[in-house]
Amino acid sequence: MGPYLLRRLLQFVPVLLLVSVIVFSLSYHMPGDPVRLLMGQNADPMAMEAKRHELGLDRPFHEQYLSYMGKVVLQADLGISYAKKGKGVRELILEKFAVTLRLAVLATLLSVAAGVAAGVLSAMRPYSWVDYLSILLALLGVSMPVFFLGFLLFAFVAPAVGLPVSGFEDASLWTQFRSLLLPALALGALETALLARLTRATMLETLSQDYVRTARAKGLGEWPVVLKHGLRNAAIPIVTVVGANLGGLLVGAVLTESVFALPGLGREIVQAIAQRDRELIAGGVLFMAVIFVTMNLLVDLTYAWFDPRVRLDR
Amino acid sequence: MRLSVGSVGPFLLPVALAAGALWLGWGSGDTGPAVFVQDLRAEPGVLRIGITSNPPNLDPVEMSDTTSDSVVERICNTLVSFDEHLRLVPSLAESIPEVSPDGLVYTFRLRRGVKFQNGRTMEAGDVRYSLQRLAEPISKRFWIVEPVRGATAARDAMARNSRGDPQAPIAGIETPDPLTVRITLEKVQPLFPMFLAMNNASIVAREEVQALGQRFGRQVSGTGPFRLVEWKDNDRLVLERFDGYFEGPAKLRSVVYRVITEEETRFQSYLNGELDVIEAPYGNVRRIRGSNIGDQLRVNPMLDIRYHGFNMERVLRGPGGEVVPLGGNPESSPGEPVRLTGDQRRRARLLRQAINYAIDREFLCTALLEGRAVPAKGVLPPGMEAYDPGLAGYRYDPARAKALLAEAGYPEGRGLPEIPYNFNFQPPNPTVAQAIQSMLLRVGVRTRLRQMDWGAYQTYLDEGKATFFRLAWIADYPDPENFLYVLFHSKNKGQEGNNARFVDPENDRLLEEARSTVDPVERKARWRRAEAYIVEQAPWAFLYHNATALLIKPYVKGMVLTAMDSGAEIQQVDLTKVTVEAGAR
Repeated sequence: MGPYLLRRLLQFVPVLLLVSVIVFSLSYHMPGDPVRLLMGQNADPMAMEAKRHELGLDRPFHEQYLSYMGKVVLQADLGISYAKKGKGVRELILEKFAVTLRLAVLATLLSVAAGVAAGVLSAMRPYSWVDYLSILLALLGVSMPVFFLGFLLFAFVAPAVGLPVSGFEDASLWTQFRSLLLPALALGALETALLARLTRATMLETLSQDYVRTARAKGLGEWPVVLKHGLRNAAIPIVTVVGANLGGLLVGAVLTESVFALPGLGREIVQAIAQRDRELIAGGVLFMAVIFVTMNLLVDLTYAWFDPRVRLDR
Repeated sequence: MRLSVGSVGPFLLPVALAAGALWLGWGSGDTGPAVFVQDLRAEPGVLRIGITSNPPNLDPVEMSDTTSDSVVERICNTLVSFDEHLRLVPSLAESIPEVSPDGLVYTFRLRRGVKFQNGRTMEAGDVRYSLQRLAEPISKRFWIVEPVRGATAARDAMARNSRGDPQAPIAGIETPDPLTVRITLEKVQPLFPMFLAMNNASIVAREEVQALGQRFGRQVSGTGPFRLVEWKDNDRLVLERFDGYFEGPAKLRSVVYRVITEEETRFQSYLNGELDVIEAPYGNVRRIRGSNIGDQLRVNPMLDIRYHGFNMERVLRGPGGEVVPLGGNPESSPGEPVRLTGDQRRRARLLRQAINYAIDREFLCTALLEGRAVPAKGVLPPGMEAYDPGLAGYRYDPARAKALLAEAGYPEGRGLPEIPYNFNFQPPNPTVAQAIQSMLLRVGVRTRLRQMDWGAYQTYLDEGKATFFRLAWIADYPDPENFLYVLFHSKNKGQEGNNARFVDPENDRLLEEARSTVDPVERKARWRRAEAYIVEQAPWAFLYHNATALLIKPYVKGMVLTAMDSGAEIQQVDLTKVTVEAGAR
């Protein structure tokens, strides 16, 4: 496991370096002048040059990049947003990511619960109406874009059950749950569908194994057979997919956050692009890249833990 | 394979349910008056307003957008302000300023005992400090104090400072005692008190600004009825009542601005009882008017103008690279200068006039904008002093447009290259652009639509790259000067207001004459003359004057809209008189 871990960590570094170069390069070349934002449009050109020098913004690209990355790596300092009047980029990202993280975790929990349950029921009664219904819902979940599903939830579900349709209230755990339930349903629909289909296929294969037949022959009830012998053995690919998807949900909730006006990181970065907030764009995209790559790494390590053959893969 | 009912049976129920639900949702608008399910539970004492964007900056001298302006309006005060009829009334000043016989010296007597939100009493020194901030390099509204003696010198002296620290004094602002401010102008400017009613001229406490530096733009404070207690970017701003407000505490306990970019989400949040005031969604006004929430709709005419500007510095190029004049400035196409002949400038004007005649404004206002706009004959909106109801303007006349096009040398549009047509993608701009594109095509003028986000669009306009572009102007103060002088004088070319970059000595002369005239009757006549000249030269396609269409919950009382309120920001509404009572479901 040690050499595998080391190899994966070594792959992690160049990916992040490449991402950081691309992100920094894009923000470096973005139109807009931070010094003008700081000093105002009527500032004296010489005073602006002095300020530019003081902030190191007149140095060559590679020097600015190294200085930026030095601060990021050594101090976790992502700089300040000039467009937001000196607010810290790290502080802003963490504030917004807290919402995105809660949304992604709730969406994952809901989709695992619904997707696995639907998959198990389908596998227990293949080609029955339960199976057809599950397949149909899975098809809808896969096909329906999040904004469309969001509007259906607005129009039909929210008024009926008294849930809010926009924003995030963090007063208590209950109000947080209420704010996030509809967005989590919309965000998790695709994953629910994928998990339902995956669980069904894996369970069908597992339930046809000899050891399951043996368990049944020993007189075990249907549910213990399905849950203990079937689901436990079918769990490995499910866990892998859930882990990989969680990374995707953490960085890919932009549409859901926009439709439900949730103050998450994805929506914040989209707004930052519209507002030409280059420091926030660079910091936010870099942060998302780290999260995504880390999640993938964790999934790979988990997979290797479950299945030793993966570690031998050269 | 043949499908039997049995093989598809399990799918039928959910499919039918889904189809039924969609049919119900979509069909309701066409089969009779729409019925919206709505929640009417209020949060007593709290006004929740849905706004479209995060305010970029709340420092009064740095702000230039209506969202920031509306928030600052609640937190700060100015020496004078506008009442609901847009008359100038005293605010922090005890009365309207005394003016010296030569019209150069304004004396403001301040109210006694006005408290800042930090507890300190406001004095004349705070007024001087706040007005001098308008000459600092960060200020976006230097022109407010520009008429004051010594303002330009102070601005130049401060240009080398990072944020105007130390602040250079403006010689014309004096404080003979703690409750008197005397302001001396370089030359007569009858509108100067109106300039001081703009929120950019808000009075703030020096110690707060100096302690916070650029963060003052995020933690602004003043003497107003509400104070900022929370600002979560792109999410919400929460204001709480300031009990020490000099006119007595507001009736509302709190004002919450919720930032919701998506129009449909805002509307659903309103219906779901999460918001009390929003701008009515475009394309739905007619449906709402006839529905069960029709009585919540308030359509309020605004002092504004929506227009499409021609960049007067640009020319088009034909297939062989030949010059096709569109802008009419003598010197065109910066970077690739072309000196237009008199005949080319005449042809350019004919082309711009043809485009004006080809646009069916009635259709835009009634069909597309559902009656929330009136066609523009010129620049000044109805209700503005000097508005000329007799101005002919450009009525829809495709035959005339074709004739002018032919006279300009492009019969049926032959020889005329495609015109790049820029706009930002907020509603209703894309719909309006598509309609105008089709109207122009009918007379032979081809355009290429270019849609951009607002940030990129602003930069594109500021750099003078747009050829034919959408823009709007909402009054800062109710005077023709704010439209005609700001938007067309060559001195304001570019981002100062004259985005069409219109440079015409005769026009400048007419505008300056009108601006410096004190006699109201003569002044009005001169503004009309200047407007007629501008309409004749057609540096814009003059489109329409908009109205704000708001949805306001019935339990919100005391909200008096003015002609300077745009969108849900309702920046001129006096919120101290507004109440939110307990509503019922």
